[in-house]
Amino acid sequence: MMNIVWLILAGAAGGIIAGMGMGGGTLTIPILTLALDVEQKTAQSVNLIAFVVMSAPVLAIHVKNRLVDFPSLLKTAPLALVGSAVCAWFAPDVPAEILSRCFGGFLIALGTWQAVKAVIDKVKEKKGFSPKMFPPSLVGCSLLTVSDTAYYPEKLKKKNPA
Amino acid sequence: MDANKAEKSTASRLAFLKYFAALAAGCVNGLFGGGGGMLVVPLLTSFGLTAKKAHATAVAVILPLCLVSAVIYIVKGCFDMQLTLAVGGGVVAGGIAGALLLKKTDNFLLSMFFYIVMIGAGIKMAVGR
Repeated sequence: MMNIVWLILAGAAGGIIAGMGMGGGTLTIPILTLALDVEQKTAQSVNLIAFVVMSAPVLAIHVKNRLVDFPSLLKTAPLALVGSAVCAWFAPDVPAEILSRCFGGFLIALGTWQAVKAVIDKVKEKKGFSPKMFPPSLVGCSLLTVSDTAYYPEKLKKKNPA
Repeated sequence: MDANKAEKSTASRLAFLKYFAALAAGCVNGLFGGGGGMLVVPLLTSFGLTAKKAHATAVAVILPLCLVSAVIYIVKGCFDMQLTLAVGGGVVAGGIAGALLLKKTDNFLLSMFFYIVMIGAGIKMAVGR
């Protein structure tokens, strides 16, 4: 019974990271294998199924909000689909220890790359390179140019003919 | 003339690289049961998508991969009903919480913490128990 509580908590920890868009499976799998002694392949299958269940409604919302770019999707998805089907077919046959060690290497590479990228982004932002202020200033600009008084200054003149 | 030719060949090499990256992201996702999204997002950004659109489109790319991979894993016998229900429930609840939290926190420190945990876990798994 206690075990189930830990399993739910492990899933929640991974889910929070996934919900923040930082790649939750990469955390859920090591928690399951390192802390809870789940076999690598089983942890992977759990993560795949959990992702499908969680992201189906998320994707529906993204499509509705027109955030999904279909041309890029068509460019990327078919080859990715082929790669994943082939590798998923072989993954369960790879000895658990080798699979686990390779996954460890993948985590090190991915973590290092993402951390370096995050630091570089942060430094750029500090120096003022970042377009972080872009959306609000864009809104400000469009307000200025589209709003009546700015675009048709004669209206103002008519109101106060002085 | 030569410069033009060279430009064209680098452009086609780049396009080839991008297709290769898509294939590699799929392989990683199938082999490790996750992590493909982290590779697809920068690929999509390189197509000129904004961060927000790249994240949303990455979900659309990864979802069918995970569905196909999950079916293959189940067919091959890698499946544990109780484990899936417990962890899956946690993931869904955590996912909703994470999506809500995202708007409220400055997540630089949090993501650094997450990457350090990731590297630590990676070292532990690579070295073996």
